[in-house]
Amino acid sequence: MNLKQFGTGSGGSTAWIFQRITGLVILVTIFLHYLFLHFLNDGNVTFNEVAGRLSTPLWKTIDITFLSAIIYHSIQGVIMNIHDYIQRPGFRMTLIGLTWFVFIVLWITGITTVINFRPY
Amino acid sequence: MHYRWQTGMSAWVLHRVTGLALVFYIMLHIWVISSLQLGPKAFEATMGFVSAPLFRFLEVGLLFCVIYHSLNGIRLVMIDFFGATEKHVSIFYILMSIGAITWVWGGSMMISHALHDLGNGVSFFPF
Repeated sequence: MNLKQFGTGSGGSTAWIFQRITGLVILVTIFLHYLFLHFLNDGNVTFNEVAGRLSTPLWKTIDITFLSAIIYHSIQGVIMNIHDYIQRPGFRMTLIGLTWFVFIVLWITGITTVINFRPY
Repeated sequence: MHYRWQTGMSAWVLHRVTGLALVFYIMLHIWVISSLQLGPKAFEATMGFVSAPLFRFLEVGLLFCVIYHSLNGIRLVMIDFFGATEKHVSIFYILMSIGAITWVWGGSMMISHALHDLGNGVSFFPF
C-alpha cells in the first residue's frame, strides 16, 4: 500500500462540503443549546431539567443531531490539522486512525447518554 | 509556510486555534455529561464541581471560541457558496462587531454569576 497517497482518494471535496453542512447544522443547534440551557434558565443545569427535556422525542432528536454533527465536524477539523502539520505518512495515518477511534468512542458515549437516559 | 498577517490569514489562524480549543472542550463536555447515566446524585455532584467560579471564568473563554468560530464560519460559507469573496474583509468586521457585542453581553452575565457565587462564599477552586 502506498501510504503517501492513503486517504486522498476524493481529493477532500466530500469532507469540504460536509464540513460546511455540519457547520450550519451546529450553528442552529448550538443556538438552541445556549438559549434553552444557559440563557432561559438560572445558569445551573439540574438533573430534573435534563430529565424534562430528554423525555421528549424532539429534544432527543435535537441532541443526537447536535452531537453527531459536532463529532463529524471535530474529526474533520482535527484531520485537516494533521494533514497540514504531520508530514511522515505512517505517523499521519496513525494519528488519523486514532482521531476516528477517539471520536467514535465519544460519539457512542454521548449517544448512550441521550438514548439510554432514565429519569430514575 | 509564510504567514501574512492580513485579515484573511489572521481570521484563518484564529479559526484553527478556536477550533482546536473547542475540540478539547467537547471531549471533556461529553465525558462530564455522561455522568447523567450514573443517576441524579452523581450528575449533580459533577455539575457542582464544574460550576465552581474557576470554570465559570474559563467558560467566558469558551464563549469567545464559540462566537468567533460560529461567525467566521458564517463568513466562510458566504465566501464559498454566495460569492462574497470580494467583500470578505468588510463582512469580517461586521460579523466581529456583532460577535464582540454578544461576547461582552454574555460574558458579563457569566462573570457576574461567578462573582455572585464568590460573594456567597463559594470557593474559587472546586477542590
